[in-house]
Amino acid sequence: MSSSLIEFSHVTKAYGALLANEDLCFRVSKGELHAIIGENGAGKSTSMKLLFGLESVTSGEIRFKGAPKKWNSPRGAMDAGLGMVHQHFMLSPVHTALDNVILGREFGHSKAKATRLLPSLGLIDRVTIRRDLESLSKSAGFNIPWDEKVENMPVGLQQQLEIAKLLYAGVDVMILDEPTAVLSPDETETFLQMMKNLNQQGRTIIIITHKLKEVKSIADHITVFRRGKSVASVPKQDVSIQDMADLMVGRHVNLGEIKRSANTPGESLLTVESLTLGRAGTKNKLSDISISVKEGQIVGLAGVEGSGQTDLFNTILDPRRFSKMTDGRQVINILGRDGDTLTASDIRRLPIGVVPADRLREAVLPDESLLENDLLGHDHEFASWAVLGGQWLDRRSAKGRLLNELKTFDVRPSDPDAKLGGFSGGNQQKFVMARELSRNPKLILCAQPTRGVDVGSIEQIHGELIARRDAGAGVLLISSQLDELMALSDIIHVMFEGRIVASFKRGEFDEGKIGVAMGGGGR
Amino acid sequence: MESTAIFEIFLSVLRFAAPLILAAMAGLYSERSGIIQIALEGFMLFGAFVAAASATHFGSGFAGLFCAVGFGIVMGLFYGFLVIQLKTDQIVSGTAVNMLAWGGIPVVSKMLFDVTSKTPAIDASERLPQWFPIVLALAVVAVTYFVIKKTPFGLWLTVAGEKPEALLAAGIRPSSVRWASLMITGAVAGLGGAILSVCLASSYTRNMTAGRGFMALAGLILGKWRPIQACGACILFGVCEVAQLKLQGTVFPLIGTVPGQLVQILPYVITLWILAGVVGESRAPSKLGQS
Ligand SMILES: Nc1ncnc2c1ncn2[C@@H]1O[C@H](COP(=O)(O)OP(=O)(O)OP(=O)(O)O)[C@@H](O)[C@H]1O
Ligand SMILES: [Mg+2]
Repeated sequence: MSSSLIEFSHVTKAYGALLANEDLCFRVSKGELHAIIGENGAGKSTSMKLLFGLESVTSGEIRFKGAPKKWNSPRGAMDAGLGMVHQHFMLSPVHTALDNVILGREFGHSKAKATRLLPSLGLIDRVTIRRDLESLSKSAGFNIPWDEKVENMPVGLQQQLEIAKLLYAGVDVMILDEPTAVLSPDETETFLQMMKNLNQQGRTIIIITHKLKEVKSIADHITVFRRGKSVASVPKQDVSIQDMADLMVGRHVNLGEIKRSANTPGESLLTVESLTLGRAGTKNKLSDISISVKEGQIVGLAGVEGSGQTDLFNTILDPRRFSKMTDGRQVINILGRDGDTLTASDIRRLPIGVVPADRLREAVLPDESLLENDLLGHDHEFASWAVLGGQWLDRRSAKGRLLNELKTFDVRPSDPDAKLGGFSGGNQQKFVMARELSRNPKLILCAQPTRGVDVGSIEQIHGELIARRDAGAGVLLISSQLDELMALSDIIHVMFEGRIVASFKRGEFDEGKIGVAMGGGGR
Repeated sequence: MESTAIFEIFLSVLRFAAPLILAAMAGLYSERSGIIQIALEGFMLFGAFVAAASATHFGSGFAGLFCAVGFGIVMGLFYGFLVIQLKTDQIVSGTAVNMLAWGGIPVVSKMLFDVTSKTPAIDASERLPQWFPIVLALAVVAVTYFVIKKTPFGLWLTVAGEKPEALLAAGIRPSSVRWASLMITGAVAGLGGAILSVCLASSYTRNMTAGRGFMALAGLILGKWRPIQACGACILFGVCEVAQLKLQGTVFPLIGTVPGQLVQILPYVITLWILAGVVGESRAPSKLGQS
């Protein structure tokens, strides 16, 4: 029984009045692949920050190898052999992959320092380090271009780089906070296989994730968090995916198909006709795209990241600017309006809801309150013209409205004055959905609506989108999750290298065929 | 005959550029670590005054340099206290340091030497040779290049200005790196001011930096925050300066004499022109001013 490597014993962490972790108890054994699951805001990230020394425990104790942990900083944790991959990338975009890996470990292992010339002069020996990294690459199965700047690397490789950082530092306990949230299905598979291998080489791995299928396929042991506490900690074989979901949320969650009405699509809300985007002499970003979204229809766009979905999305949001990049022919029609005549702000005033993929960069201001964020792009709704004919924001009614909205969409905590950046990732996403959907849009453009969101909230968000569809709204849905697309869409277009290479109607969905089309095959 | 004349011009370009280069390198350390540095002018002015005052006191030009470096470090710490410890706005604090130099030095000068605008002249035998600043400036560029490219500190410095969270996750406190870089900034900028008063002149005169701190900042931006390029930009300013000295009073055909002021704005026009088009996008450290 004394084989437990890490033990949380009655740990509580308070942020002011809020208890992010409360009387938390669970243990991780050596050599185990341990999954932590739980709703958004359940305190998963917080517990790992405590373990890693990024935050300090309010009460209780964390034990490591049988004794209370001694470190209070990430540096100390690393020296004890722990390493953490954070929920958001901790990589400097303008530095090379190599420089990111060696940051803080510029001389590699201390033994090497004395014997090599450059390190003994206090200089970084990049040539030797490169050689070490290449052999590390081989044994772990990375294919990282070491001299490439991080900003030019796809997210899948960036995630590998985060792992490479830990291996280079020689850790034996790896803490991974939602490492697969931003990866495509392909990248995810590679990544999980890599984790399995590292685990078999004897490393202890703690992984936080919302993807229960992943948990079922790789974890040895599962701990479930609910509202800051651990409600179950069991071997994998003892629970099914359904059990996990129910344990997390504390009620029965419907993981199956959501009922939808058998309506016939109505009028066109959005049409894009043979849209081509690109300048002469360069490769087209989009070629000959034609899609339409009708009332009561969810149109899904599948494709590996960078196949043109984002370009299409952005073009629809600001057709005038992009029309300058084409031959000038009008190809986009939104809610009966000619795209060429619409500015970005005109579009925001149409009944359209927009949920961009990268919420922190494109949808919200993390340093501002929920109220400020709710007003973003909707300020005209609360402008009263009574005072001197000028614009006057009616904050009180805006706040009242927002409170309702937060309750309906179960954003926790539902405090309009709280800073958005302090919310857990999933709750930030729910807030964005709430802001956009509560205005009853006729057309909804939505990318990665459930990225980083827990199963309970996925059920809710999916339910909401279907309900909108049933009520006659049209939805354009971009997702890297095939499951999600197949669960929601009435029709799925598959994009590859800026073209639509295949389309499938509901009832003809086939995971295999769609997957082949995503890879550019089957044309 | 011809070649010695060209060599003379070359030397005068470098002589003018040397303090600029030092100031630009000074600015580079703090800006790469994420802290805006518009106090270079003030740092230089303090350096020039402290160097001249201590050189006369100790009767040694080198003593002047050492004191200027020491005082520069103290000023760097003071600036760090404002922007790192108290988290004040960097532009406002930088301006405050400049104003402290403009207003404070004459007061101290009056107390020490009974005049506000000039320190006593340094003995000709104690003035440092004219080639010294040139060698010093180029050496600092070489060292800076090396520090940025080859040492752990250089890596930490640049990560602190780009993605401090990554540095923290690697176990290094970004604020410690910034403290260190501000001390270097103070020391090197002090040195830049010191060579003005103890090498290129023989005393401190009021406002003798004459905007060189700001020009160095322009050189830093023009050089995209990289040591060699920034040094090149400062040399370009030197060329402009020497050109404007030669051009003043020259009678051109058709135009006649060009007003001196027009010629003097040459370096700034060239900076704008180059920034606008020739060098392309000049990307600042992304966390500049946000720390
Ligand atoms: N620095 C902070 N200040 C105040 N509150 C915080 C802070 N960090 C986290 N919280 C709060 O603590 C709670 C737990 O957050 P945590 O990030 O641990 O959730 P999580 O389980 O990782 O959720 P997710 O799955 O969405 O990432 C949340 O309610 C969050 O708002
Ligand atoms: Mg989290």
